[in-house]
Amino acid sequence: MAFSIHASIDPAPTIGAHANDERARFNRLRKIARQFRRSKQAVIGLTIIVILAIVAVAAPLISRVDPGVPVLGNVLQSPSWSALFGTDELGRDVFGRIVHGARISLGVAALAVAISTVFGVPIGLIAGYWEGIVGSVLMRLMDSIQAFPAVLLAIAIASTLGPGIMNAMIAIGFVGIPGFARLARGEVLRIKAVDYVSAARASGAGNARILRQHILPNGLAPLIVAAATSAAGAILTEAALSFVGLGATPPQPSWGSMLQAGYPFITLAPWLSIFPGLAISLATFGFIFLGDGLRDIFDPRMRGR
Amino acid sequence: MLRFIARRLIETIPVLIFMSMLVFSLIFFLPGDPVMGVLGPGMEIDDAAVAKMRDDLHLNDPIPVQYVAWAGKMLQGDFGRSVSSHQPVAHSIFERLPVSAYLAVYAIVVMLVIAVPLGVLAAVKRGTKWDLIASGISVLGLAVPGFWLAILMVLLLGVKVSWFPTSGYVSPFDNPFQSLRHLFLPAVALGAAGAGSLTRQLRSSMLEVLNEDYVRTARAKGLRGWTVLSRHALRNALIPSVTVLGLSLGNLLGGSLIIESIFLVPGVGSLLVNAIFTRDFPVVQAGTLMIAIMVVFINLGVDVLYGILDPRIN
Amino acid sequence: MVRDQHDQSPVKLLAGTPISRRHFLALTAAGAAAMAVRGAKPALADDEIKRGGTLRGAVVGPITSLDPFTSKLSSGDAITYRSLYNSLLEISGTGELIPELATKWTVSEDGLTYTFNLQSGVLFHDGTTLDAEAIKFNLERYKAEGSSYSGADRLRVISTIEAPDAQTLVITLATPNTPFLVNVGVIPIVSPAAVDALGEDFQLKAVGSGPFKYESWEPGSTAKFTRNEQYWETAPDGQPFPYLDSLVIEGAPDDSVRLLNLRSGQFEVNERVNPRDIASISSDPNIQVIETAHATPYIVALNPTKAPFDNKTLRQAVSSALDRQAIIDNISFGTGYTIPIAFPKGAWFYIDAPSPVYDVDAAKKLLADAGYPDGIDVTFSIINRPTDNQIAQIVKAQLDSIGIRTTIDVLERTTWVDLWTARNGQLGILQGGMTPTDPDSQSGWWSDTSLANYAGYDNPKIRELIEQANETTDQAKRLELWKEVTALNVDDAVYIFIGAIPTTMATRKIVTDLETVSGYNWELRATWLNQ
Repeated sequence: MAFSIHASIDPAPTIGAHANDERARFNRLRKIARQFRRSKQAVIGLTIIVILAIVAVAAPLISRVDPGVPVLGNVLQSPSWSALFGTDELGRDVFGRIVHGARISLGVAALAVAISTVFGVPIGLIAGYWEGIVGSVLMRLMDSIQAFPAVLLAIAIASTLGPGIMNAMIAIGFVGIPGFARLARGEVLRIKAVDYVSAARASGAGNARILRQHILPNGLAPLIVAAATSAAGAILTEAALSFVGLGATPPQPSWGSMLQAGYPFITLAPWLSIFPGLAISLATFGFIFLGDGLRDIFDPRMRGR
Repeated sequence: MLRFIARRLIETIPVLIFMSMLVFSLIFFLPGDPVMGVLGPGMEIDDAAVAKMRDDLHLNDPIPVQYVAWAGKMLQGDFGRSVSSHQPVAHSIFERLPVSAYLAVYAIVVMLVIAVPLGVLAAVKRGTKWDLIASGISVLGLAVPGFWLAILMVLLLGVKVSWFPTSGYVSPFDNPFQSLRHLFLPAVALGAAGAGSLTRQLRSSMLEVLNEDYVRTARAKGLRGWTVLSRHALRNALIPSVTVLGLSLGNLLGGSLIIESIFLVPGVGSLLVNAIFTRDFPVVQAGTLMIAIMVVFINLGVDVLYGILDPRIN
Repeated sequence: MVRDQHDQSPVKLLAGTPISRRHFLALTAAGAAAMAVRGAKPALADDEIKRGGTLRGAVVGPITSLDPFTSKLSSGDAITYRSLYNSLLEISGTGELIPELATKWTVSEDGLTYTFNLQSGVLFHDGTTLDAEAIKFNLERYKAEGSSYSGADRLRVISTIEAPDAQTLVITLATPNTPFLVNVGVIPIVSPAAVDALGEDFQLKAVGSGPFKYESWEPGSTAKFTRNEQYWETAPDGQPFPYLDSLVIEGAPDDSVRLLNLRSGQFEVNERVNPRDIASISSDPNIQVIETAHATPYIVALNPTKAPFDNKTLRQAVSSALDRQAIIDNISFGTGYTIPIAFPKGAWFYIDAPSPVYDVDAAKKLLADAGYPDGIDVTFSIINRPTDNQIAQIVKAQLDSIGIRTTIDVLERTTWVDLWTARNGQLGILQGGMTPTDPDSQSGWWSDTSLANYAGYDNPKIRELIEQANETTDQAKRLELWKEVTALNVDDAVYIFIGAIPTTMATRKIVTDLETVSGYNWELRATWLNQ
């Protein structure tokens, strides 16, 4: 029972056609794929992310050396054919560290977004469905979390919990919860306004079923867009956390902590301050483009711009 | 209008209360005894003193009582004492707040100077390569971490070429020119991300406005392009951008943390970063809350401004 | 003034030389001569000293308190106290004792009574007089029961303090203590009247008798001091010291930031230059590099009070697995040197014994002998500092390679201190400070009362040897005793000394006649700006 997606793709809504669910879904997907190809942004974004993900997964194959082991005879070498991005203050190959660092950055981003979604969406659904006191209180709570600048709150939480990747994930995930809650709630409210939900209720469908069959599928699209944008923020926040010593601990090659370690050597070895930053920017860029592109696809009003 | 402001103010109160509860609850997530979070471990304290401290801090009382005691103190301006310097936290924070605010304003000016021309350009030349360039730059601003931009600027502009000092702060009251020079690099680093999102917002609201009927009507009436642009389109496009500006401010103040410490700007941000390194929990707590409250009130102001500007609400 | 820290010129006067009557006269004469010399110190022969100007200094550790009594021992504190306060004497870079408030001193034959003759006409910044009573007040305050003063322990050997007249101070000890002269000599003397008047606020607004007096200080921010017009020492031009008009001290813990600011002219003095930067500033025409007599030792500490490192063989395995030379070379960019104990090169007590040999095979065998043929997992807790970080990663690799699988745990300082004072750490890294004053300054590592003994290392034999060394006045004998201490320490492998990095300062070339005393505290009374 696609509503928003369908409206943009297929003008003939198949409301009530339970039997045609499967085919409708397939058609929907095909159309999305077509739209996808039309949005250059989405394609570029997705390509970047996929490449980075592959690099992250295949890191040990790409760079066979343990990224944490010092090579004391080789410190602070400038970029060359043997060390594409140069070596750091302990002689380690920067390229290899960045490749392994992709695991950390992407991993933290993914898990943090997962935390935000897993907690945020149900909160939003509840707030949207039970609009009274429960919803009001929940949304005020979400407001108050969102009132904090994201990086600031993440830093405050992470500094309380202590350094470590787990704590960074928790902090970043927590900060992202209100965004998803608000989104989910918005979807619920919007869909509640539509007749067919009342129609479905009239036909005896229970709350859970309504949530599952009508609300969730429609809400999925903005959720995915939000996930992409959220991932971009998560990567930047993780870098910021590592830069101030929260997050990844040595010798883990988080891009943010590589920047932190490289900054004192800025005049001696500027490459230490360049490449990790490029990596962060690239990953963030990819997610932003992906999010933008997906938004273009899913929201008809934005198209044609 | 006054009712509008009053209503928004009242709406803010529960948010502020929840925010304070959130910050207050941090103390329970400290690994180790909360007393040490306030006293700072590393001091030789005997058990009697610890017990007394726990009592003073109401740590043995039920949590709501603790919160009320803490909130009461905060409202009276007692933010506790810094673990490292033993000075009242409130004093340090209020001393540094104006510096952070000054940097923030400077960053906003930078943001506007970058975003307005870029956003307008992108909207007016939609679809052309100018649009792509402008949009590309704005995404770059969003994707590039502010502190990395700061590092790059230090490298290129501070070290290789010594155009701008790479740190320090001169009060605008002492020497306006030096003051602006010293804060140029941090302001740009801070403003870049905001410039990115503002450009995007401006572009899309400009596009919306340019398509609106009344603009077409104005065009039809023969008003020249630029007049239409500046008088009608821009002014109306700026309205939703004001909201984005307000939102950006939040991120700005958050991003200021690292940038202030890289450039040695004596604001609240660098205070917080130092406090993180020294495990100065009272400063972290109070600083976070203060910055966030500042953001809330600025957003409130933005809302009010929006209400004033937007004819639809009026 | 560039000081060659490898200067092995014979030390002229030092606590520990046999104190006989003959020596005392020599001390006195030399003391008086030193005073005269200091008063007439020329800079470069052809430059005329210019008065005035502000000296801005960047220090590593921001000032924590203007009162030595509550000082948290940051470097900024020590540096500031040298300008705000006077002490009985000061210690030059080569270990000479230079009279200051004390014009001469004698020690009785039995080593128990110290008599100091004091300078007259010294006023505190608040106008009150600095006399023997004032010094007595200071010493009692510092050594009182429950004192927060870090050097209180070393003063508790005092049994009585008397001020028979305004210019004479007599201190009697309970037992002979050779380092005592140095320990009591460098204590900053504060104004008793001000302590009474200001109470707790005294740490915010110091009142001393030094060449500079308090103007303003915001904790966590800049401190400003102005010239003390009433300073008691006269410069060669007939006016009192200091030459400078004012002094600004700012805390900047980040090495790169301090250096960048020095190069851009925002500071005139940088307390410490990271070894990696020395090469690049040597070529800067505006900067001069000054070697100080101070050095920082780096130590890998093992906790012997709990498993697994209560096992001595295991500790020795760790000791053999560490390539000390490689570690110190990496973090010092070649400027550092390995040490068996924290005594600096250039000190009379420097012990040039070779470090334990780096032997991977021996290490593996020791590991097996210790009962861990399949290796062991340990936690390496370090303070969040860049150098510690670097060392830890190298050590981890070296230990991993023999089977001691190490996990690095980066902690904030206070958490780390907590962990170790509760004796829950396993492996850790410590930094210290070493100056050529007296070997006893390093005794904290083995003390049963000092907080500095983070590992809780209890070795009564070492303590006994140290006590003996403190009671002996024969320098050669003292050295022998300390060599025994070194050997025992190395064998026990609790505090594994890796190496030391000499501390290098940098100033802009216009800063002339900046001397460093007692390590690397800045002696600024005769400093002037050649601009």
